[in-house]
Amino acid sequence: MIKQAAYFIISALPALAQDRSGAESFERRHAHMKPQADEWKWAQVPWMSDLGEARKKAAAEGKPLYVWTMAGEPLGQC
Amino acid sequence: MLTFYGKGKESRIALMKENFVPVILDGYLRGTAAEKEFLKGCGTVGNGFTYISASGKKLGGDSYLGANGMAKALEEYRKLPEEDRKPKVVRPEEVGSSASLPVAPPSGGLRANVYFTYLEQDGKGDHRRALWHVEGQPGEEPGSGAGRNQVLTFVDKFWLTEAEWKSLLPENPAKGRSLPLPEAIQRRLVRYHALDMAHRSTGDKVRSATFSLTVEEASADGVTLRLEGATETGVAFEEAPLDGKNAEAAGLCGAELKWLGTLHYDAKKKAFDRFQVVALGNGWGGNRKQAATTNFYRGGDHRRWPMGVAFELLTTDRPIDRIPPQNANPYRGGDAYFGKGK
Repeated sequence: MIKQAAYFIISALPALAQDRSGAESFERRHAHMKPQADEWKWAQVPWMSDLGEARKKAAAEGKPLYVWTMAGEPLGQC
Repeated sequence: MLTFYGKGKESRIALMKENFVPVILDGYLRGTAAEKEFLKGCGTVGNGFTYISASGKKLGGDSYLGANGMAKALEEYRKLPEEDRKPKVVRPEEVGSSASLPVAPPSGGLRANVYFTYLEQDGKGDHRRALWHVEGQPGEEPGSGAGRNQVLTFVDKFWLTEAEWKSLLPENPAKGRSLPLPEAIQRRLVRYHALDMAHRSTGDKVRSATFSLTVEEASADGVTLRLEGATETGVAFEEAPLDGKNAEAAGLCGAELKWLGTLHYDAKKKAFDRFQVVALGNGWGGNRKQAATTNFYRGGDHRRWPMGVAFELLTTDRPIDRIPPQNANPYRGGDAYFGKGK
């Protein structure tokens, strides 16, 4: 247990020390955990989540529906 | 997801945006009774994409690995008569409570995106985003389209009710004053986000969690709070089995994270306009081959995987911004997310 705790402290503290050293470091870390520029192409798509409203829009605009379903929420972890 | 990943997918997205009305549906929550009946009648694809006319004629479908049938679906669509392409759509009145709909955001609540990604040492004493792939082979840069599942960012949501976010504000904010993080908020952070989101399960086991809020600035304009914390969840590293069968289901993963964040309350807006939090640390455990839901391979070694979680206030209100936290869904924790029930 002591060994484990020591490892955790040694491995995590330098990173946090850097975080505490300035807002710039914090912002940089925050930014690089977010989706990267080329990553979230699906976010460029104007998704609708209300099927009824989407059908109305499709009928009004003369377009078919593109329905994405997954076992769970498609735009999250799935 | 792969449909939208890697190079050369822009043309596919452009085709979709130009010619289709894109809809996302949680496969476990397919809407009202009428909507479920509509989808059933269309024969929608289980995990993937279905192309449907507004009237309900199925035009084709693709698996989630690639939306290759769009052009053919468009051809089929153009052959349809007017009544299928432009039907009068009336939303039927719902009777009873058979609807299965996503949870709506709490009125007046605070919403944030939560991002999770694996990290690795960059050789310069810092971290960078991990670059490995599901097959465990040295990967190309993320976004290259190579490999089956590139490293990517997992996303979830974090919701606070109005009463919960208001509980973050001290009654008498004075610079330097320290106060505990409200229990309900701490519980939500720890239970749902202090873990490896790709491998997910820590069995809701919390070995330790300490958080504090410190007033950094306080004036008539607002209050700035610094959040700090440390969490240990799941099983300890030594107790996590290597390639244990159903390790995730059994909650035999673990994680240890250090937290740091800045929260700003704008007195004029009477709302938080900054909720920016980072958690850095390591995760371990889980299946050797792949996580149950993500196909995310972590190699065969039993070792600590550097990882990071970032929270960012949501300021837009698009349909995708209203997607609930995954654990607030009724097929996960439901009301337990808000501290009700189990």
